[in-house]
Amino acid sequence: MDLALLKAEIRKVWGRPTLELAVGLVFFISIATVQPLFEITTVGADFYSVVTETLVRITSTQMLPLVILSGILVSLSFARDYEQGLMQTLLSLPVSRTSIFAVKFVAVVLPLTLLSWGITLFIMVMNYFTAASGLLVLQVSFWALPVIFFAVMFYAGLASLIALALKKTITSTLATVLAGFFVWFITTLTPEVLGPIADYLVFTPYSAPLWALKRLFGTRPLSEPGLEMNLPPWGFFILIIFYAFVFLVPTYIYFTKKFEVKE
Amino acid sequence: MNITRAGFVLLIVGLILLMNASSSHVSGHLTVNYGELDEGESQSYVILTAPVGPANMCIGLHPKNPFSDLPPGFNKYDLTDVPVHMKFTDPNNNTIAEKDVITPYCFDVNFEARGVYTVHVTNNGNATTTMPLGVIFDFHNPENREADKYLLSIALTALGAAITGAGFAINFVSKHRKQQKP
Repeated sequence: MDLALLKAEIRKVWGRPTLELAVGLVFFISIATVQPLFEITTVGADFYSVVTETLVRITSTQMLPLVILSGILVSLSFARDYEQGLMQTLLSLPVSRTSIFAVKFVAVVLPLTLLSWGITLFIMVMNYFTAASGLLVLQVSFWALPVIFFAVMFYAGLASLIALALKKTITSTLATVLAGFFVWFITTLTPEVLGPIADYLVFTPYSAPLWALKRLFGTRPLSEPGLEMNLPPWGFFILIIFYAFVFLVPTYIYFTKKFEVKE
Repeated sequence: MNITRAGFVLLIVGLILLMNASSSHVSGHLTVNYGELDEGESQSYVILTAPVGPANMCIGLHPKNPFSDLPPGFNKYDLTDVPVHMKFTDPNNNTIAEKDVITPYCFDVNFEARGVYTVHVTNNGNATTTMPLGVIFDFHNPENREADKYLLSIALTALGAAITGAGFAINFVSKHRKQQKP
């Protein structure tokens, strides 16, 4: 991957005011979900459940803004470059198509993941870091990093596919936002609406990352345990890795083999 | 990323945190009760807390449930006037209070540090009883905001404002110098 190209792409994608808005939005939403630490338990009860439940809550709240942000930024990165003719210039450079695709993808996914995880870590440390619990807080918070990364990768893959297919900035951005909302919306449907198929919604791309964290930490389910208990934590991790590549691989193949810029 | 943007991002984070941390999020009455305590038996409560300031702690104060039709004292284990030995320790394991008292017993506490406070209670009476532990905060008292978070938010806001200001000043001076050069 060309580092100079990556630097230029990051500067372009995260130019003013995108970074400021993203930090403000994600931080505001995250901090609003966290209750101050005040809990009375018995000696047998531990700090672990308080910390893990908060981490799951923060990640869950961040998911929808991240879906929308990653979708918008990726579709802007691909479709706007196409519309403005920058894609033709990029493809004429002595750089492989793989590098161009990787640069465009990484320039969105990596900073967005680090931004989200950084904010999560900051809030967790601020709320729960004490001499006794410091290591636990760091260990638990670490797990949000791969989960956020693969979730963002899924939506970025979907957004790049839409952007390369539609090739229009506004159309592809709107389609990506709608797709993101749809993926979120189906997880809100109840068994009364969907019937028995609603039990399988825990395996959708929106719910699977959150269930990966919940199953990993052994968080108490709010309602009756369902199908999610049949899949072990590593099963959920395999599922989210699969989702991360499900749109990315075909989009990459299309971009490197078939994609052409039309005058 | 230039210095002005870094400062501005810090300012945004500081202001959002200040908005969140400048008011109290603990307010009202919280009571917990875990089972019954036999004669001579001890129980420990763990209070995981942020530095939320002054409160009133009550040992053996049975909450009145306004939504229940049950008369007060319906539960035969909800006894009052029970002699107990209590010990209250802070997160550094220093004993703040240790004495023999009669329930319900309320005393003022100040949660100054983030961490685990512990309350040990021993039933010195001659009957089995429940031993609820209650913490009462004033309603929306600004003193009950999280002290460390509030300080951090002020520090981040001030630092963000200073860095943004410095960034603007540096930009202004460098532009001015460029204009002066022929």
